[in-house]
Amino acid sequence: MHGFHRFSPVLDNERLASLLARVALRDQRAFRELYDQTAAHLLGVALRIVGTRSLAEEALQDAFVQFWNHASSFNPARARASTWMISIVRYRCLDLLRKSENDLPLDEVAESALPVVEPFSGAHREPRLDPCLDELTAQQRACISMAYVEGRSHQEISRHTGTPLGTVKSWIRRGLQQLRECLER
Amino acid sequence: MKITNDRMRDALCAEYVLGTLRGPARRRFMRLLQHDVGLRQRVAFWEETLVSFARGTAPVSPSPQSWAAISRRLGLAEPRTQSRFRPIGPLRYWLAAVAVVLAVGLSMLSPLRERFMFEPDVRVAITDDARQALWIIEADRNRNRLRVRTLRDIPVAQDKSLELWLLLADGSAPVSLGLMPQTQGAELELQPRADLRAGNGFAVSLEPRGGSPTGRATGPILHVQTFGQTT
Repeated sequence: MHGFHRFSPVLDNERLASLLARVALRDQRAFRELYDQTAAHLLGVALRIVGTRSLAEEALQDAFVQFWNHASSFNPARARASTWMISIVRYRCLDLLRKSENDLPLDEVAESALPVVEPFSGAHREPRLDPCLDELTAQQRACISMAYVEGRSHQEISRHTGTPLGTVKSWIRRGLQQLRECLER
Repeated sequence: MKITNDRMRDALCAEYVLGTLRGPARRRFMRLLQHDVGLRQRVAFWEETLVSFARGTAPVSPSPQSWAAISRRLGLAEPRTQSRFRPIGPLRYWLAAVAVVLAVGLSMLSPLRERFMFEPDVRVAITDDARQALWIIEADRNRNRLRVRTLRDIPVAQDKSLELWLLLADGSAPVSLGLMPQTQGAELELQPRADLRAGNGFAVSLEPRGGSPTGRATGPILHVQTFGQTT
């Protein structure tokens, strides 16, 4: 009935939202289906950030524990289900990276790793991101992508690209600012 | 850390979501986030914007141990899909029949006043986001009776109803207990078909008028309130 590794390349947000609603009601079958639908996608996101399989699976498991415990705080009127889930995975990955770098006790960071779900204009519309991305310089785009997709810090991006730290910071800062201005026009 | 400037605030939100805000600054920001709605709205904007960067990420199938670890950590029951198809043995039929006969017999013997007795052993308040109580739900699990009192007017759209669900302790799909009253002072008494003793919580979901057409919650869950197995 459920393929172990089934995933849909494009996450269907309405379907995910209804699964999350049932998960909030402690429906274990819905939880399993949510896992089947999303785990491979989310593991892919996690692996790019933390770099190792074992850490990525740890982040995935932590995230699913949070999905189970916090599904009732997800509101489809306020955010897309895929965004909510991916954000949880990413925050968890960033926490795990920090933990492995600094050996911080995880309890300290565990509780704040939920994405926020607040109403904001255009929450449900597909963001008109592509034309706005085109307005960025190649360096801005690359730095933002390295930070978001690979979880790299300013310093790591600087080392990786052989660019001075200050330049990296300003590319990212100005890139984000331009993105916002473009999206809100 | 005092953040007054809008542009500065927005930059912090973006770098928090991006992950480049790190160390003590990240922790301070996370604390601010808990109390600042405006900041949370900006973070939500950036979450929804930057998530597009994850689009190109290739999926990777998790190992089977991942699901096992998750379900162990959450104490989930083994999937019961197999038992659904297992033929029911004749002994079970007999036990069920005996149980029905006993139940009918006992109900005829019990005194009339018992029908009106209500001694709740569970009492929970369903609250809104601002922690104001909307309903008080009391359950007498021995008599399998439920009483709902409505403390405030709870308006919903014309074409919607609020449905009450019993969360089951064994993790199987929640069962509907009925529709919630929505006018202040309204009381509702229910004798649900579902066994309240099997439950460990209530949830309220927003459904099409008249309740979920599928028998499962279909709309957003507005409230969840759990209670202990024994009180």
